[in-house]
Amino acid sequence: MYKRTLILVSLLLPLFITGCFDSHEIGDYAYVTALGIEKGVSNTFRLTFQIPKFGQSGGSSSEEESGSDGGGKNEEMEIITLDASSLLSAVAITNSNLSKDLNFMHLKLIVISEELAMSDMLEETIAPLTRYRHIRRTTNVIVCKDKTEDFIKELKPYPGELITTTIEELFEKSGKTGYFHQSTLNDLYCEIKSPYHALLVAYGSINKEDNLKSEGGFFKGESSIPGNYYAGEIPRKGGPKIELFGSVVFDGDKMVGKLTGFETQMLHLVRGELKFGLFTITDPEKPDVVIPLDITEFEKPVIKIDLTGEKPKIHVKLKFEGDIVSIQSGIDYEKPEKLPIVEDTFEKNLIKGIKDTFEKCKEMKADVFDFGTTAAMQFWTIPEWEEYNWLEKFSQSELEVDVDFTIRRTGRLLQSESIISSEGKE
Amino acid sequence: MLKEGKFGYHEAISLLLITIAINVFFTSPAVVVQIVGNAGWYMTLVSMLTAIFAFMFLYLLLKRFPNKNIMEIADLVLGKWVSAVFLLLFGSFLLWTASINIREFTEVLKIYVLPKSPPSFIMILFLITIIVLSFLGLETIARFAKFIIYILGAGFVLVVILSSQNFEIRNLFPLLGYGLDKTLIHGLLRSSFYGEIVIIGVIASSLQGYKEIKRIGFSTLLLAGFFTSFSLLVFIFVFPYTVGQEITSPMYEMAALINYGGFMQRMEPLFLFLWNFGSFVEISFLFYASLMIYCHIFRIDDKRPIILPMVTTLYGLSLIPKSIIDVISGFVQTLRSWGWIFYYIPNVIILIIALIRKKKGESQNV
Amino acid sequence: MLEELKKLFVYRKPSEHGFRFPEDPRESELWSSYRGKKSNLQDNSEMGNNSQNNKENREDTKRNKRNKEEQIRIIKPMPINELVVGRGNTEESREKNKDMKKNDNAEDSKTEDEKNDKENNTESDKEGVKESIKVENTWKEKEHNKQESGSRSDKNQKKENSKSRKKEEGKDNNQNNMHNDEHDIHVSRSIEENINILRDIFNLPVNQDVIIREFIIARRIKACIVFIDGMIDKNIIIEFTLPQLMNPCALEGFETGCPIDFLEKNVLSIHQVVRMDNYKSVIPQILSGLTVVFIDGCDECLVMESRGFEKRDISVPSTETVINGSQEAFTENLRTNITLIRRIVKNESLITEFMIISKTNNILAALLYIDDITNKRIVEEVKRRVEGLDIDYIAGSGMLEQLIEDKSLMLFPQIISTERPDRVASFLMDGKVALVCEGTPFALAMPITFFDLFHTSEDSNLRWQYGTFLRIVRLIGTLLSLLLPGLWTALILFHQEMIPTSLLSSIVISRAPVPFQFIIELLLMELSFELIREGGIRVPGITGNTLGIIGALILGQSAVSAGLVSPSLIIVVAVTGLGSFTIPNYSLALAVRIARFILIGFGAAAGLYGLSVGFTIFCALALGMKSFGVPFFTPIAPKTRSNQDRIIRGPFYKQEDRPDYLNTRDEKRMGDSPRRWVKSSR
Repeated sequence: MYKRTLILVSLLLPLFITGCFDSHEIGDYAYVTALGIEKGVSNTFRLTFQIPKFGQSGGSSSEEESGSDGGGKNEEMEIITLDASSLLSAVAITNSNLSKDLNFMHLKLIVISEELAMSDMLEETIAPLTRYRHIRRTTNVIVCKDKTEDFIKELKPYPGELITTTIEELFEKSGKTGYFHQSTLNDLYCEIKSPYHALLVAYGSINKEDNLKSEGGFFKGESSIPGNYYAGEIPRKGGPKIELFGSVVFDGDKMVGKLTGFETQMLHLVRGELKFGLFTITDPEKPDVVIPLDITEFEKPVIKIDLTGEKPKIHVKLKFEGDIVSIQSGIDYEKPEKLPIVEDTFEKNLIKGIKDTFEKCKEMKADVFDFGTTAAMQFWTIPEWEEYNWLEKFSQSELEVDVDFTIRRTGRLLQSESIISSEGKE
Repeated sequence: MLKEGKFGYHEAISLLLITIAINVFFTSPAVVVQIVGNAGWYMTLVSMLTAIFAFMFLYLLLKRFPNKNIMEIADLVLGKWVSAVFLLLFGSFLLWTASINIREFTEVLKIYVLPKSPPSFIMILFLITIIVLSFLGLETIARFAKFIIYILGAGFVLVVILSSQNFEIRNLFPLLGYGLDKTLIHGLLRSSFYGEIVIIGVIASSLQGYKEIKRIGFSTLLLAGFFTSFSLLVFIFVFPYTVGQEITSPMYEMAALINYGGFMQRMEPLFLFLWNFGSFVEISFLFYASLMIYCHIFRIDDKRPIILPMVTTLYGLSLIPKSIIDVISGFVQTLRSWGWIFYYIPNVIILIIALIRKKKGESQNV
Repeated sequence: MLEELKKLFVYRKPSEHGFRFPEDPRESELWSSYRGKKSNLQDNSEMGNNSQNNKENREDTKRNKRNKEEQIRIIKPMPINELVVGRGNTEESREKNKDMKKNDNAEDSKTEDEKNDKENNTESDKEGVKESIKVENTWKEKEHNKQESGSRSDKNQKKENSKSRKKEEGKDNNQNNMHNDEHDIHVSRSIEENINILRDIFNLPVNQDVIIREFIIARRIKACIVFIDGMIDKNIIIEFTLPQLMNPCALEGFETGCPIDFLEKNVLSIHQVVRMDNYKSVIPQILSGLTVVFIDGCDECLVMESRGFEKRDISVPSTETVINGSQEAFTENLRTNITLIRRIVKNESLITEFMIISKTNNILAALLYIDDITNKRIVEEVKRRVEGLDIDYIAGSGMLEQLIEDKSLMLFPQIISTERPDRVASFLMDGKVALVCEGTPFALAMPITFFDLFHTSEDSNLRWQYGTFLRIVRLIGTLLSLLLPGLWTALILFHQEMIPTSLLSSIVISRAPVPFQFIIELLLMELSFELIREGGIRVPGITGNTLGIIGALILGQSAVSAGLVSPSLIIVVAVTGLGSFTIPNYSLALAVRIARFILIGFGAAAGLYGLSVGFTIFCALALGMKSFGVPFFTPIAPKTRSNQDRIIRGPFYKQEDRPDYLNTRDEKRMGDSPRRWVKSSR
C-alpha cells in the first residue's frame, strides 16, 4: 500500500508542481482597463487600449513605501492604438510587441465612437465581444463624440485612486443624478436583440473647455432648463477633461439620435430608475430666478398602455414628494395657499419635459422608455407579441402623463420675510 | 455480493436531487428557452408531473417485490437471459448518460474557466474523483451528497439573492411563451430531465423498504421540480428570452453579472464550486449505478476491480462527440427528449409482464 | 428513522441488553483487581510441542526468530481485568459468581454469553488447559472478527469463536506463553529456594535494582521481602511491615503450620494485601512497585500495596487551554488520572477495567465507561482491539491510539486524545469509552466524530450565544486554514478575473520585485511558517514562544524587504497559520496542515476546479471513514437525530439527548423538564 501510494504521489507530483495549461503568473498580463473602438483608416477598426502601469510611478528605489500605500499613487497609463480588422487580431498583433499579454478580464469601459455607432456596425463590433471569454458582461459601454483614442487618453484616475475605481464611481453617478444612462455590455447585448425596448447608451465626450465664455456680456433673460446639454457642451473649466452627459439612442444596432442630460433625466424618471434628484424650476412669479427642489420618488411610476385602438395610448402616472431647497425670489411660497403654485409649476415642467422627450424618441422610433415590457403583458404568446411589432407601433403611440407632486418640507426656513433696505420693505 | 450499506431518507434525497437538478446549471436552460421561450419555468413543472406519473409505475413494481432492487426484479420477472439483455441496455444507457454529462461539463468548464487545458486533462481529474468516490462505495457517495447539499443550497441561494439586482420581472411576459400546446408537448417529452429518478430502483435495496422509496421518490421529484422551475424563473428574470437561448451556461453568466461595486462582484467562483461538486455527485452516482447493474448481470461480488475498466470505458464514451454543438444539440438534446424511453418504459414493461405472469415478491419480513 | 439507524450502526439498542456485569468491580481500586486472582497459568505439560506448529503463522515465526536471536525475556501481559472475576481460583468463589449471575438475569442473552465464556473456562480447567480469556487470537481470527463485528450475529460468532478457540487453545496459548514459561513456577515452601528463584529471575546480583531483604518473623520463621528500589514507598516497609513482622510478639497465638493466613489477618497493617502462589503473577507486581513477602514453609506469598514512586503534580493543560473551565490536566500517572476522572463522575456505574497492553514494558491501561450508559458493543469492540495487541513496547496513549484505530492510512484522527479530565468525563457521560494509559498525560476517547474534535470543553461552559460565536469563529479559522492557500493559489494562477481590480493591482505591485514563481514563493512561505512552528516547540526553555513570534515578524519583514516574497502573501500565510491555531484538537490541526499542502497542489494544478477535486476527495475520504463503526461526520452525513450542538450550540438545557449514533442504554441526558423551576414560576 505504501509503495502504491508513493508511486501515485510521484506520478501526480509533477502535475502539481509545474502547474498546467491555464496557469499564469499574475504579472504575465497587461490588464486593459479601457477599450476604444472606432472606424479605422488603414483597416476596418481603430482600437485603443488603455493599460495602467500599476504602481510604476513611485520609483523602484523606495520599494517599501510604495508597498505600503498600494494603489495610492497616481498611475501612469500606457495607451496603445492600432488599426486592425477585429479585436482579436489587434490583440495578437499587440502581444507580439509587448512583453506581456493583453488581458481584458479587468476591462471596465468600452468606448465606441459616434460615427461607428451611426454606421450600423454595432452588431459586427460590440456584440461578438460577449462571446469572448475575457470580457465580462458587466463592462460599461459609452458612445463618444470625439475620437476614442483622444477620449481614452483623457480618461485619467481621480488623484490617488485606481483608474478602475474612478470609472466605477463615475458610472455610479448615473443612478444619483440621472444625467446619463449607465449601460453595460450585457444591457447593450440584450437590448439590441430585444423586442421590448430600444438601446440607450451613455454619451461621453471631451470637454475642450471652450464653452465657458468669458466675453459677450452677462447672462440675461429666463433661466434655461438645467442640464439641457449634450456631453462636451457644458460650460465649465477644470476637473477631469472627460464628460459623461446625455445619452445615445439606438434603433436596433444603429444610432438614431441623442438625448440631452435633462432629457435623460426625464427618461429615468419614467423608467423609475431615478429615485432622488435635484430639479430646478423657474419661479412662477419672478421668471428670472429659480426655485431648486429636492425630489424623491414617492411611488413607482404606474404605466398603463391601451392597445385596443389604432394607436397605442400610453398613460404614465408619477408621484413625487420633495423639499424646497431655496427660494431665490424671497416670495413666501411656504404659505399653504401658495405651496400649490410651486407644486403646479413643477408638475407642468415635468410633464412638458417628459412629453418633449417622448416626442423626440418617437421621431427616432426608439422605445427607450421601456414601455414595451409593459405592453408585452397584454399578449399571451411570443409569436403574437412579435407580430405586433411594438418597436414600430411605438412611433405612432400617444402619451398621457400625470404628475403628482407634494412639497413636504421647506428646508430650514419655515417662511421668508421681506428684505428691508433703506427704501423700506421690498 | 458485497454489501452496499444502507442510507436514509436525507441522504437518498440529496443524492437524487443533486443528480437531477444539477443539469439546470449547464446548457439545459438555454435549450429550454430556445424551445418554449419564457414559458420554461412551468414547462418543467409539466415534466415533473409526467415524471411523477412515470415514477408511480416504478413504485408499483417495487411495492410488488419488496426489498428487491430493479435488477433482481427483472431477473425474477423476465428470466435470467432476457433480463440480462434488458439490464445491459439500461446499464449502458446510464453509462452513456454519465459520459454525455462528463463531456458537457468538460466543454462548459473549458469554455468558461480553463480554455487552454486539454479536455482530457479536465476529464482525467474528474475521473480520479469518480474513482475515489466509487471505491468508497454508494454509502459514501450518498453521504457526500448529503454533506455537499448544504454548500450547494447556500451557494445557490446566495447567487439568486445577489442576482436580484438584475431581475426584470416583466421578462416573464408574454406568459405563454411560444404557445401552450408547444409548452405542454415539450413538457411531456422533456420529462426525461427527471429520468434519473428511476435509479432509485437500482439502489432500492440500500433504502429502507418501499414505503421509504415512495417518500423519497415523491419528495425528490417535487423538490427537483421546484428547484428547476425556480432556477429557470430566475434565469428568465435576468435574461430576456431572445438572449437567454444564446448563452452556453446561463446560470454561470447570471452569477458573473452580479455587481455591487468594489468587492461585491465577480462572484462566479461560488458558482464554479456548485458546478464541480454537483457534477461530481451526479456522475459518480450515475456511474456507480451502471456499475451496480453491470456487476449484477455478471454476478460479480466485488465491484472494486471493475471500477478502473469501467472508468476507462466512460472516458472513451465521453470522447465520442465531435464538438460542444454536437454534445448540446445532438446528444444532450436527444437524451432530454427521448431519454424517457429508456428511463420509464422498461419499468412499465416489467410491471406489465409481472402482472401477466403473476409474479410477486415475498412478503416484507424476508 | 430508528429502524434505519439500527441497521446503519453496528451497535444494538440499549434495551436489548439491559443487564449489569455481575463482576462489577465497583469497589475497584487498582488493588482489588489483583485480589482474588483466578489462575490463568499455563499448564507446564502443554509447552514444548509448539515450535513446529507455529511456523505456519507468519507472525509467530517472526517472533520465534526474534526470540531466538535477541533472547528478550517477555513477560506475558497480565489480564488483570479478568482477574476481577472471582476471589481466588477456588471453586466456591466461582460458584458464587455463577449464582450471582443466575440471580441477575438468567435469560439475558449477554449473560448467557458471559456464562458461555465461564463454562469454557471451567471446561478448560477440567481439561487441564488453564485458560486465559485473553487469548490472543491468531491474525486470521482477528480479521474474521473485524469483518463480523458490524453484524448482529456477532454474539453467535463469539460462541463459535470460543469453541474454535478451545481447539486451537493448545497451539495459541503455548506460543503466547512460551516466553513466560520460565516464570511459571509455583512458589516454593522453602525460603531459600524462593530466594534462589528470585535471584535467577531478577539476575541478581547483576541487577542492583531489586532488593531482597531477608529477616525472621518474630524470631521464629524465616522470611524475606522483595521490592524494587525507588518504586516503593519506604514508609510502608519501614513503619508498617518490618516492625510488625519482626516484633517478637508477632506470632502470639499462632501455633504451627503456614503462618501466612495469620499474618495477613493479624499482623500486617497494610491496606491492601493479597496472596499469590505463582511467580508468573508475582513478578509483574514486583515490577510495578509492590512488595512481596515470602515466608518459609508457605507455598504462597503476600503481595502488599506499597507503590510510591516519583510523579509529576497535576498541572494546567498545555495543549487544550481554556479560559472558562477546569484547569486540571492529566499527568503521566495512571492512578492520578483515573482519580481525576472519578472526581468528576462520582457514580458507582463508572467502571474501570485494567489491562496490560504491552508485553515487555508491561504498560497498564485502564478502560473506562459508564455501565448504565455505554453501549456494551462499543466496550466489547474496544476491549477486543486492545486485547488483540501483541506489542513489546508501548510508551503511552499516542502509541495505543495508532494500534487500535480503524484505518491507519487516513489523515484524520479516529480517536480523540485529550489531556482534560473534564472532557473525558463528558465523553463518558455521552456513552463513549475512554482509555487511559500509563506514561502520557493524555486519555483516549472513542468512538468520535468530527464534531468531537471540533468542540472544546469551553463551549459548553459558556452561555450558548458565546459558545456558538466561538464555534463559528473556529469554523472559519478551520476553513481558512484548510482552504485559503489553495484558494489563493487558484485565484492568482488561474482566475485573475475573479480578483477585484483594486486587490489585483496591489498584488501586482507587491509581486513585481519577487523573483520566484508564485507557487515557489507560496511553498517557501508556508514552509518557513511550519519551520517557525516546529522550531518554536523544540527550542529549549522559555525562548520558544518568543522565538516563534519574533521569528515570524523578522522573517516576514526581512523577506519582504529583501524582495523574496510579497507582503500580500505573508498576510495569507499568517492568516492561514492563525486559522490552524484555532483548531482545538492537535491531531486535527496537524491533519489540516498536511491537507492544506495537498490542496495547494490541486489548486496549482487546475485552479478552482482542481481545488474542488481535492476537496471532494478529502471530503469523500473523511465521510467514508469510521471511528469504531461510527461515520466521521455523523450527525450531518449520515443524518441522525441530534441536539442543537454541531456548529450552532443551543441552550444547555435543550441538549437533552445523548448522541444517537452511540445507541446508548440511557438516551436522555436530562429529565423531561430539566429546569423545573421554570414551570413552577409560571
